[in-house]
Amino acid sequence: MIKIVPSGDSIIIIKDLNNLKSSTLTNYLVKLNLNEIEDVISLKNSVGIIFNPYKITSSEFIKNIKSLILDKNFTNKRSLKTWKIPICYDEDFAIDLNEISTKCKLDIYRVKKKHNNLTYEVDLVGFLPGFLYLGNLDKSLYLPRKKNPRTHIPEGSIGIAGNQTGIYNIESPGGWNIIGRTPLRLFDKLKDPPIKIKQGDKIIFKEITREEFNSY
Amino acid sequence: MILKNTIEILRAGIYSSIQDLRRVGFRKYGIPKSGPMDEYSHILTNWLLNKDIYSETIEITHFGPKIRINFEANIAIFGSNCDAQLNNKKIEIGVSIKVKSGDILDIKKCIDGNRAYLGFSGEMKLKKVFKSFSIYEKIRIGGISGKKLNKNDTISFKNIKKPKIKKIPSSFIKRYDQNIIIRVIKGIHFNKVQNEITLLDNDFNILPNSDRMGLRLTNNSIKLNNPDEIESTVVTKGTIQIPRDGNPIILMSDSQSTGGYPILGNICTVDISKITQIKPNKGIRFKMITLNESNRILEYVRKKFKSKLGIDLSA
Repeated sequence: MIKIVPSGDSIIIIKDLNNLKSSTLTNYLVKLNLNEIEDVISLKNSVGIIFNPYKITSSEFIKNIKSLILDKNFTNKRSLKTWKIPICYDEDFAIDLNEISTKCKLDIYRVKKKHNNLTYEVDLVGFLPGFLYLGNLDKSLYLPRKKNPRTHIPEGSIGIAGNQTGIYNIESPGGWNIIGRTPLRLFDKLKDPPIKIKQGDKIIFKEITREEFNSY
Repeated sequence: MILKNTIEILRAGIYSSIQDLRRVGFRKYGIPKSGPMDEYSHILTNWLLNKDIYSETIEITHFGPKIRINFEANIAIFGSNCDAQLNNKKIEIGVSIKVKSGDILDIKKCIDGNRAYLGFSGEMKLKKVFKSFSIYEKIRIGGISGKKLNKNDTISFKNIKKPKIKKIPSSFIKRYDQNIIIRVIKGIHFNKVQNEITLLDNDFNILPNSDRMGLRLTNNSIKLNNPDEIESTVVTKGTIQIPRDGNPIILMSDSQSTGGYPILGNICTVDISKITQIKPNKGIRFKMITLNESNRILEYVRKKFKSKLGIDLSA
């Protein structure tokens, strides 16, 4: 049974979605175009709505959202997009590849193979502008964040932390173990939307050489 | 050469940035709403100039800019009390003031709070990025080329008007120099708190390294049971997170919209502006209120703005 709970006076969280995909629900809520909604944020297992509390109280808002979604027969029909992302594991980019190999007790060939051999799902877009959290990482590559985060991680860097792999789509500080880099600019601040990849989409990494990277 | 209808930044101040309330709807891409830290003072600054609540102001932090104004208009300053002068004569805050071409505005120290807002009775001629002029330096968007104001920057204005002089009614003036109670709605992880009594009976202080992303609190560490067993969830301005060291972080205008730290609570919307003005040496204390109480406070404030100032906060 879907549950809707308030968090403070300007957020509601929709959870316990069971078979309903959060991306399907998010799509539906965004299309409603409700005046009081500021943002709909899609997470792996829930959807959060940030709203203007001067326009509606959260109890009224929860009631309205309940009536809009509880009896609706959702079909997870949105054709999930699969994005092929080139990744280069050259040592200039993969600054932590040797460390990952040592810590995970796998040779570098195996690390790469385990990293680009499966299909990931976008758990979340955000935290940093355009940052992509990808779930379904191979268990043998689980690693904690670095104790001392770096002050500069270049745009396009791809890292590993916990049970996720992630893509830094802007240059920023960060604590993930950097395993490679993509030449694609997935986040463009001059475009609206600035990033086309959405929560729930699939990602496949395709290994490229340094020469191929340079030719992008 | 003097450019018509412009202001020139002769001194930028510690951190002066253009902010508005227009960047709504981009958090799903990881782009924060940004905007003024103290929305209350921003809205009232705009009211003094007959501008809507979403319009741009210059947010002044701790020590302000020196500006040459090259047009005839009204200006207004509101927020923290500050030492402001027009052509070397002290001016009041909380009231609109006529200025003429060639006037020099010099805003020095913020006195009782951290930030003051400066508005003009015209519209800035800047490019909107994600619907807004708000400066968000991390990806260099908003303002002039995505950066805080710098010496020698010039901003052009259009639609300059000369409305009637207005003054903020005394019932809207706040003081920030005493110890302060901040009302908080219990959060989804409040039940993990071990030391509820110390949490509520003792003061916190705000660390000076707090910024537009978050206010860092100290002096009253919070202990949690099983702090690691939580799932990432949606957060916003006013959300109080408890990182591993137990010192709360209150998320602010430039914060992300999801977080993996336990959530102690959310500051009731009406009190968020107030906490942005509290100086590091002042104590703040949390008071837990229910969601219904917060809704009543919101309704009271909404009606007060509507009846006394004609401002519709639900517009």
